[in-house]
Amino acid sequence: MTKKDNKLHDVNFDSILNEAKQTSILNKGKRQARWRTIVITLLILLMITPVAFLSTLMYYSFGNKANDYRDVVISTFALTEPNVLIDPDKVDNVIHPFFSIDYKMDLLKTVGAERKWIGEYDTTFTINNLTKQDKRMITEKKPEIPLLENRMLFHPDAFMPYSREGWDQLEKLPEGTVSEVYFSLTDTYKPEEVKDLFNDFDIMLLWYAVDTGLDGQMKDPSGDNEGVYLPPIGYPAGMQSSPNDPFSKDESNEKQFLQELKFIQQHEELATDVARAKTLALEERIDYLDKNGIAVYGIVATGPSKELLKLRELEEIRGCRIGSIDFWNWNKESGSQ
Amino acid sequence: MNLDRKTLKGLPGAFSLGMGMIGLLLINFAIWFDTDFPGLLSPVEEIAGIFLAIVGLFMKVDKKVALAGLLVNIFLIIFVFLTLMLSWGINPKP
Repeated sequence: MTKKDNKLHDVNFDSILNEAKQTSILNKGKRQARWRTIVITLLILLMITPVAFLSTLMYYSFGNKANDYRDVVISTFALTEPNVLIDPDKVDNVIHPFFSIDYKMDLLKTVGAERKWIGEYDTTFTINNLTKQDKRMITEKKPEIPLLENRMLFHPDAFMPYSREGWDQLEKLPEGTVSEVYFSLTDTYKPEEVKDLFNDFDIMLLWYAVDTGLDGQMKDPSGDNEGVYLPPIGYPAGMQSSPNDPFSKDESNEKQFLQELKFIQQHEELATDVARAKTLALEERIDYLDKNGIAVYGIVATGPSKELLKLRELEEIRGCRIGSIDFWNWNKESGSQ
Repeated sequence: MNLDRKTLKGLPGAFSLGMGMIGLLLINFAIWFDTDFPGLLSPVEEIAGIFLAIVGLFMKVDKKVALAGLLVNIFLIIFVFLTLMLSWGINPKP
């Protein structure tokens, strides 16, 4: 025992601190420890969400993942949904902690000279997967999954379940209306030939359906998805106004079509989910386009219903189906193209 | 109420930690309810919190509380800065 220990041993603590004081010190210590535990626990709980949120932001920012996912969705719509576009300037996104991001996009369609809001497309990505998508259309009920029966444009080699139906409907429409019509052609044509073909009519071409070598069968001929329905692929005919649009004014849409196809091919699984298809068979289709170039077998056009009816005279048109009809708005100066 | 010198000296650190925790709470609300509080992204509160924490550290009382306040407020400033920087890179609009 050291001298110091001896000294401590000799001190009678009971005489210095009475019982009440000892209890008070003990209680104070307990209180402080309890508060410290509460504060530390609260701090840890409050830090979880901000740290997870920052990690999510970093995950989606680095490598441009968030913008890539958005662009894949916009391009897939432009390439697989005839005359349906997403306004790239009105895409809202919300980042959630724990690695998920929501997008809310406006769907637009051109009928006559007006571009109209037709619904919303909401989608959620979690890490690299599309975990939720919801398409709400206000103007028309489109089938959840694209099927042969709902197809609007037909390749010359494909069986077309209608021929006169569309013309009869157009005939009965009043003069003061504008329509959006899907025309299937008797052969495949170069985009310039299609433009020349419709040049003399007061209509607006909106979307070209492109022959990708598989459109005659409309089914994937090989691989795991053999025999599965293939949605049409094409591109918008007009120039878009936004610099964020996949089809810019700087290059021809034909050239950009191939670039966009190759871009969505890099995210094929995601693009297939967005198109609600089982397969897009992009590899085979891109190979075909690289070898054979772009040839159009169908178009989507809009204009006055009676002007569209005049196209019945063209022997290059095999048949048509009407998409949307609207009141007269055919004033090209206020048009959006 | 009479406050002794020791309690008074501990106040800057405690205030700093309190401000930091309120900031964290607001950020949690903003994230979970996808809403914004006025001034949430302004660093004025956090700078005041850091100043109080530094004062608290010099008081030699409850240094751990002041240090915790300092760290939380520095985290909040980094959070606000990184959120603004990274969000700008995601989906920038013209």
